[in-house]
Amino acid sequence: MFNRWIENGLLDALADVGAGCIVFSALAQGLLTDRYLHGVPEGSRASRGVFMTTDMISEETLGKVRALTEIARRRGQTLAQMAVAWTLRDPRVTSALVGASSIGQLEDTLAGLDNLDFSPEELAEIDTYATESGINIWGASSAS
Amino acid sequence: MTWTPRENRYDDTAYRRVGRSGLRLPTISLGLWNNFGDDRPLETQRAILRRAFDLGITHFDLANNYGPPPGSAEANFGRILDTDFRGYRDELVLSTKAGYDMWPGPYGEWGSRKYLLASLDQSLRRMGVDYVDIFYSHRFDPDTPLEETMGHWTPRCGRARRSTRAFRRTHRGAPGRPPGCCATWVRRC
Repeated sequence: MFNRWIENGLLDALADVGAGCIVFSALAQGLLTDRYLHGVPEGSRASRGVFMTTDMISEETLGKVRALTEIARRRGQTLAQMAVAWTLRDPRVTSALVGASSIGQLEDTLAGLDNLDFSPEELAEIDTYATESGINIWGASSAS
Repeated sequence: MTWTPRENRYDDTAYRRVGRSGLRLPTISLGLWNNFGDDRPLETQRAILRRAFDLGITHFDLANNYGPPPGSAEANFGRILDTDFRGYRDELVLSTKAGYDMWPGPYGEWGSRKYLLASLDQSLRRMGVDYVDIFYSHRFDPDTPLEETMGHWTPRCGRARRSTRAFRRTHRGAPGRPPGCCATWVRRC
């Protein structure tokens, strides 16, 4: 949601050649959860400064997280569940990779598959907040 | 006690076809980037992998450098595979990658044939498997011809039998590539 570069030509190219697409970091290193809404918790990726730094969590970004959380709530989902389901809205996406530090986290994410349908209104509202947020740590590798 | 996976593990899981290929993957797959290093208890790792498999997740995604330290995620996964998933290898789609810094010197990173082949052999040894299903170029190497990076998988490459066999059964992949680049290597390979 915060890094939408695959929609800018890659998915079209994959469909042209008949290749699949396995997406990763659907939760933007944990930003698209409730983890960082009330400060940076101990032990989190941002607190350790690995793959993510506290300056990637701006107030503007947190505002988007809150708005998306509200949309997810109306769908009966957590933000994490909605974020994963949202990556699967395009049939050209084959699979979404998720991490899990516990069984509970894994089961929670999988429960998001119970609601994979998005109305056009929901998608439009999500588009308002699901915008580039300066979190693409792989940008250098995918730039031509 | 030996663990036995849930019998009806495939009943409720949706699988999608990988493009126009014959391979299908679960809509959610498990990535082992951050929670399978030596800094996490092996028992927790085992519990997560068992539960994932029980829920119909057939695809586990690794890379040579996952840990910490680099290599430990593959080694830990290999241990669990040996104790828990013996006999289930062909129910799994395993992927690994090479591209980032793995060992000192000019052959320990990026996209040369030399590095990719050596790294794949190391990954197979760490995981204790004969092949991986998907082998990714983990990052684009601007200084190595794309044909060299993406061509290494073909059966014609005469290298250690282990690698050759692995390549035969391996699908190509290239995360983080620009679209034009992707179209280019698919045409060429």
